[in-house]
Amino acid sequence: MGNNTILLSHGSGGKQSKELLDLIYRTLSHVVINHGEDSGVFHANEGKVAITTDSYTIDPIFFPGGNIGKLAICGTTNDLAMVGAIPKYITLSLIIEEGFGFDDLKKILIAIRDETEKGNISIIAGDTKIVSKGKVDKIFINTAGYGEIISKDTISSQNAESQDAVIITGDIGDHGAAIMAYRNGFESSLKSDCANVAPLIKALLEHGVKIHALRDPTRGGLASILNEIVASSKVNIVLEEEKLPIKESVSGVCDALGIDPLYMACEGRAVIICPQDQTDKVLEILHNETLGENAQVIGRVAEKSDTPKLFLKTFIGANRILPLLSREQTPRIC
Amino acid sequence: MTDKFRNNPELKPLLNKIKHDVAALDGKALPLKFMEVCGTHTVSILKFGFRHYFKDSIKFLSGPGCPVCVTSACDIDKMIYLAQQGHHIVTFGDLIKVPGTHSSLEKEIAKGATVDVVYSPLDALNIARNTKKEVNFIAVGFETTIPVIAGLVLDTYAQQIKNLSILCLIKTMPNVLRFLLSQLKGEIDGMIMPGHVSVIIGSEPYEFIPREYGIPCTVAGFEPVDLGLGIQALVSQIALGSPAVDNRYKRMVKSEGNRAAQELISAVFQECDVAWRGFGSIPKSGLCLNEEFINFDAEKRFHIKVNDEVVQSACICGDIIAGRKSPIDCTLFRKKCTPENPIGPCMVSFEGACAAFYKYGE
Repeated sequence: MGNNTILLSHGSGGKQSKELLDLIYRTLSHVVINHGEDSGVFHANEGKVAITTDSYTIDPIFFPGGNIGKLAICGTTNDLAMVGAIPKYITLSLIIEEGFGFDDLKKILIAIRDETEKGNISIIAGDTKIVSKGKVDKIFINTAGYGEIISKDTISSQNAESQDAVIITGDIGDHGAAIMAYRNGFESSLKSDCANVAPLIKALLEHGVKIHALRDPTRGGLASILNEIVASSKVNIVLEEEKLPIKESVSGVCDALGIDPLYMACEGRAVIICPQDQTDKVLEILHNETLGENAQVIGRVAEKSDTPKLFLKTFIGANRILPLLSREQTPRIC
Repeated sequence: MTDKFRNNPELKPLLNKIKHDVAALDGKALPLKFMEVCGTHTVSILKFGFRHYFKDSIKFLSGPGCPVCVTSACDIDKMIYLAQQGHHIVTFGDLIKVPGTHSSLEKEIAKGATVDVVYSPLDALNIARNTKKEVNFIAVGFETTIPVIAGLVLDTYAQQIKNLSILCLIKTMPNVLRFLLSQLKGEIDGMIMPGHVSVIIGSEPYEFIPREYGIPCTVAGFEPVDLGLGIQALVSQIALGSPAVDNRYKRMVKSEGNRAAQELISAVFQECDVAWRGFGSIPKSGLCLNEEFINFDAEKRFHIKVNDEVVQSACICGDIIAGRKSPIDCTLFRKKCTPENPIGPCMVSFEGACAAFYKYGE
């Protein structure tokens, strides 16, 4: 690796390609299976399985609390967990811009290795493409995830029922606020919450908790995914502002920029909608895990409705609607 | 901070008491009409649910306190003219979507114009240093933003940056309020003064409002407790029949304001008459560069030509800014006019009344 950046020739299939692949295999040796084969092969269990796919692009690729590699693994495992599946295998495609630094690639691979190892997941297939400068922004990652469903009941956004509790596994808006603060040059201690929530969900399901609906509030944040749930289940949901766990540093950055934490992405949280009588058990299990120690009941599912809405009961006790927003939030002017 | 000013156990009893106090007012038509001048207050009032909570006792009217909303279509056309000359435009984010008479900066970007959105005006310095193009900073804002724009002019001067000038559309608060009150006489019962602007100018410039118009005033912050205390001050002034300027934002606002910032402003700018959307030209309601810095005035430097053309539209932004109407009175609201496709500036800016009504569910 005399030259420290990735060249188009690293994707040519020749000697330099081997150099790149060596770095990848060396770094990921513990977690890659089916080395060098064209397809990954595995024994499938009986029962239901879940498949997901996603592509990851983020600016900046390194951010406080993670990087694009960690984000790709956690994003994939979280999507599997949201249907009650335990992640087993993942595929990994890297699309890299010519001129990208080997050191940066190594950092990303290490994050991928650590996260897959921790989650007991194997990388079963992969691919690398190098494209000329300007064709992608530094590095894009595409994944597919395979998981085995351990939930006895179907978990779906359509299944929220009147009187269910709405629970979040941790603080709201950390990822979005950290990225916004970083992009706007604010000095802050904010960190992305980027994490794999599958172990939390696994713990709940293994303890026999009944879950009606489960979502990770990524793009669009808490308010957007709950709007999807009210629409799918045809129920109203009421959140209580005073119960929402939002860090002061997060609400501070949001207030300064004029953006709303309820619409900011989280990358390591889950929203659990379950029958009221499951609440104590859910909180007890979540509070036992570091990732779930700030879990909180934040609202409840109200009555059925043909024109379902998401409401926020504010600090002063007034109800207002939290609508679905379609425009990107932009920083305020004054 | 959040717990002290938002999630405070004394907040609900305070607001409940205000409701009772309003109901006990003698001979006052309800709901009371309070104008909040500042866009950030409009957002807080809707976001924290004050509008809903006080719906039978207090009606909140938005004032001319969102810098984007008060910018006239003609001034937007001036920005577009500069962009069309191939200049590098530097602006705050909200402005790019505001429609002028025939185009918007956003549409010009699609046609190839160079427009950078910045958070601080001082970012324009770096942009100008790294290009040979003429760079124009679009200077909109009230007293809150003006000191930083003054800083930009002084730095440009000191660093002898030749290709940077400003399109000066700066507006100031006291005289537009005088104009507005002369029109709204007797129609409002109290005013919530803009907290951020007051940090700079202090509370003294509002003394004429109770003195000449008999209207109670309060300088308030933006958290629920701040707003509650401000509203309580207005209601008790009404009950006592003794209008005054009450400062409930003392942790930020001194009666004389921020002297250093005021000096910075007067070193660079002088008062002038400016045009407001919905109001037309108001005497001494804005600032232009003084003689010493006149070379940084893009309008003079580039002889901007725009037509004085009026496009007919059902948009009532002008009436909304003047407190005469509410966004829900507009036939375009939520139908033709949405944040994705704004017809008027009040739907563009985050702090515009229409965007706030749209977002906070009305």
